[in-house]
Amino acid sequence: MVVEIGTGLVALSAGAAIIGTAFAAAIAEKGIGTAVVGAMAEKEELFGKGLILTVIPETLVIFGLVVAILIIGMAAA
Amino acid sequence: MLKPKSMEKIFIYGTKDNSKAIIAELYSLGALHIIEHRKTEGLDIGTPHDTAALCSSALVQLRSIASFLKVNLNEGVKQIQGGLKSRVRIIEQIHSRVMAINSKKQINEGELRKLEQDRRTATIAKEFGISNKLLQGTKHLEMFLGQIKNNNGKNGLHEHLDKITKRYEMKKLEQHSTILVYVDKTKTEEVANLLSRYAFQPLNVRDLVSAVSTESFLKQLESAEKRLQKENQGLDKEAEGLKKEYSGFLVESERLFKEEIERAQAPLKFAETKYSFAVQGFIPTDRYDEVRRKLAAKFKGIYIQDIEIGHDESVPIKLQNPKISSPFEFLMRLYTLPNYKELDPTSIMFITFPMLFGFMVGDWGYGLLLLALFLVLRGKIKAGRQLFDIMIAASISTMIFGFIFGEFFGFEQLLGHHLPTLLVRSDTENINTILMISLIIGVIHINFGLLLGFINEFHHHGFWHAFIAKISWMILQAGALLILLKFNLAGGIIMALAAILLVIGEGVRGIIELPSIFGNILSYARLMALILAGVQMAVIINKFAVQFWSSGSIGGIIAGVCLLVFGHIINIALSVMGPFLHSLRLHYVEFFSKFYTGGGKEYRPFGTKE
Repeated sequence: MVVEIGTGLVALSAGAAIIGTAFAAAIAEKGIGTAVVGAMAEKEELFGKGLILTVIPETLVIFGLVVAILIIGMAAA
Repeated sequence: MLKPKSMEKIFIYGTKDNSKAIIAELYSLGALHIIEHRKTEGLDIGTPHDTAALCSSALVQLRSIASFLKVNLNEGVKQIQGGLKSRVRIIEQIHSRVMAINSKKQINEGELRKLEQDRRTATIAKEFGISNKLLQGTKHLEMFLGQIKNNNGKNGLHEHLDKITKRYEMKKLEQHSTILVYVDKTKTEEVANLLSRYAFQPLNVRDLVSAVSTESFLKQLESAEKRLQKENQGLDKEAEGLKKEYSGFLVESERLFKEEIERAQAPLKFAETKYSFAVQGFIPTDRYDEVRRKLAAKFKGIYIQDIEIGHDESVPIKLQNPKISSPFEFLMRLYTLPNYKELDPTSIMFITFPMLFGFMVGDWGYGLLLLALFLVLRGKIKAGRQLFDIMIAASISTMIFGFIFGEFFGFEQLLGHHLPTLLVRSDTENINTILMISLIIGVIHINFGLLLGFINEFHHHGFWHAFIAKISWMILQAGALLILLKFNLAGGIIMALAAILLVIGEGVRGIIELPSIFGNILSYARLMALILAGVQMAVIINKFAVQFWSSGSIGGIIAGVCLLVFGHIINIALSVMGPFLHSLRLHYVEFFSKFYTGGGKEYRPFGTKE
């Protein structure tokens, strides 16, 4: 199967959008998760708030996904 | 429904001689949430009633009895009559009996251990083949009988003994690593020192030596052991009898004591002077008159005053929702309870939470399976009932969205018929449509939140403040919409206007926060992301399974079935966790941030169990 170099670049850039944001989300969640587990050891009731704080950076990777889809969409147009 | 239960603040003032009766009355009414009085210069906190100490110590005794007799204090309660004082007396009696049994048993067990040691010594003596009378040593000979550590070389001990004296005799039992040494009495000390280097532990032979013979000693031991065991059995029986007789009494007494302690310690939360006491608290409005009337009718020296609730006062929160939406109070407790002045979004979450969940999973096969699973779990696990009720609502919503999307375990056709559908989610052409729908849901959800925020602010700070704090966000979105529709100038002007309003309302922070609303809306793209992940996974599982099937061989069919079952189990597990968390997050972060402050303390009336 021969793929044009342009198509490959589009795919790569869409991938890059996901990779970058996924790493960013992972790093952020790592820090928050550690702190939340520490806080929960002191005070069990913080579970709800901790859960929320931990998933907040997940938005980053969602943005990445949106950007990736936009890139693919633009390339198709 | 959308508000926490309305409360009234009350101030009760009475004389101290009445305090016990008033507390008992308040306890049985179970309506007053007491505000703890903090010690001030003029007003000290109250002193607990004298029954507190009595009941506390009885409770300690009771629990030690219960742990000895293995009585489960959480078991059902039989109604047994009897006042506190007589109960305390009975418990003291049981306690001393239990302690007697316990100490007797411990003594017996110590004796049994000693018997075991003696038996061992006697067996060793028998194996050495030596009369028990000789184990004593003689006028000129010292005897050592005991265990040594074997690892110092087998012949080492002999050589060392040779160096000390020639006049000795040693025997060894390898399997017990036991030695028997006779040595000239003059060398006792040196040999003892040598043996201590081999970690020598002497056996106690006193009882054995005083017996007639080793055989008769062993017989004695046997009969003594039998006697002790019989005694222990008797003690166990006695304990069993006590348990049978008193376990109901103990369970009931524990409850009574705990209640009495709670009552007796209530004055710790009161303000007190020499002859009077005062207590403040909250009572739900619908019980207020009843409590007031009952107190006033029953007691002469009592003064009750209604107090206006202060502006920033922390009023205890009792959520009131219809039975069907009340399980969702669990999600509010997980986050934080609303404060007294704001809307309680429980019933709103009852509708929106399952909707978002169902939109993400959207497969009526999965919905059906989850519904069955959570109905079973709900019956089995009492503690998680609220959570399972939430999941049942979510499963039903999943089924409804499953019909809309026409999916059954990822298949879009059943028995050759295409399922009716409004939108084919597995088609990659439709990704953009799903993304648009997700964002539109976001816009609706967030603006609904802003509307609720407007209502909250309106009650709190009036129209103008509510307008600039909440409606200006809506104006901002309208401006952005106009720009999207290519009305650049009009859109720009409207957005600038909204920004100015926000700066007036919230200061510089308003400008910094401007992009957040669009971030919030974009965050709803996760709906699409989770749909994509879930649906594509199901489609891939089905595709592979069908390929295996169409190979026709038996192995292929088995592999296909396995793939189908395990693949869908994994996908369902992921489909519950992901959408649940993300639906929750969209509520807590994106939705609640538009109107919700929280921080309410739960209403805990005096005299009710948690």
